[in-house]
Amino acid sequence: MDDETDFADLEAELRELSPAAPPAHLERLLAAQLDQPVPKPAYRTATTWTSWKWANWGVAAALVGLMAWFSWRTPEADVSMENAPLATLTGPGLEVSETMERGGIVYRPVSAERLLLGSRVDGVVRLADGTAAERVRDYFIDTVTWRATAGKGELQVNVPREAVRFVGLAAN
Amino acid sequence: MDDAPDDSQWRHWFRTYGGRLLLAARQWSRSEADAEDIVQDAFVRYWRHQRHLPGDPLPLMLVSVRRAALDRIRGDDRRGQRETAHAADQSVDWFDPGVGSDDERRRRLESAVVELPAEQREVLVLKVWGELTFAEIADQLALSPNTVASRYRYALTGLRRSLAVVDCHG
Repeated sequence: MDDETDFADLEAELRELSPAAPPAHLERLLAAQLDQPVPKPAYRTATTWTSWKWANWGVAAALVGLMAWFSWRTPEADVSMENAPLATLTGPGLEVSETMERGGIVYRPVSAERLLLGSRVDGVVRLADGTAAERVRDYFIDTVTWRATAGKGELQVNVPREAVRFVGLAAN
Repeated sequence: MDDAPDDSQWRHWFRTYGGRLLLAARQWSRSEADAEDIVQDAFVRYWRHQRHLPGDPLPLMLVSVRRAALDRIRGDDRRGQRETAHAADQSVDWFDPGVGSDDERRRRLESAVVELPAEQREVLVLKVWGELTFAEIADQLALSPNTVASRYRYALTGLRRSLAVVDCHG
């Protein structure tokens, strides 16, 4: 092996060097320390049922309950797709009538929009009069905005809709 | 090494490993007093909490020494750098005095080890007297095994060069 990289002799020589023993006073210090009882760890959590620290869980539960109650009281929380008021949507202009009441607040519709998400051609069908037509399925989202008659409260209801229409095919 | 040692055996353990632990602690401390404190902390921590762990105890104790040293360094940094006469502490003999005809060469080798760059010396100490593998040293020092092996090789090259220079002029 290359003399520069063969260190076996030197390593053997190093291993013959024996680290000096620690001073006697260090062993005495260790004896004094190890003779003492092991200190108990300082627990940060409750370890007995009578500990006041369990009260933290009660406080947390009360806070969660309070937040749930507030969210239930908020009018927006009452509105879901199932409970959404039925608005009368008519024609391209989507005229909306009626009013509704939620939590003692009367809302009136102020705008309605229809967004066409897409269309799909189901296929060609023959109508009752014998003419051929394409059956087209349209997918919409109707958005109705309600505003409180008093105050600044506002609700928005999105209703997915699907419509089928027939498009006559030009006769040959 | 004994299995399941009881508390009365700590002296035997300390006399077996204490010198190596202190030698390792010196690599990461600013003074001899610091090194002794580190060994004390590390040994107590090991003996109370880790001595029942399986495997060779020396690597575990060396890890404990390293952690105690890092804790102390962080504590010193928080309190402000403490300038300590480290050079004076190097006058402490790191190795047992040799007996025999080759005492002069042994003394020169000891001096050469002490005078190595710190990053090479810590690897040398952990490898030769800590009996750790390159992978274990790399793990402990958060270095790559290749870096550790290179530092070890540089250390040996440096030692050989130091001894050769003395031989030429001596």
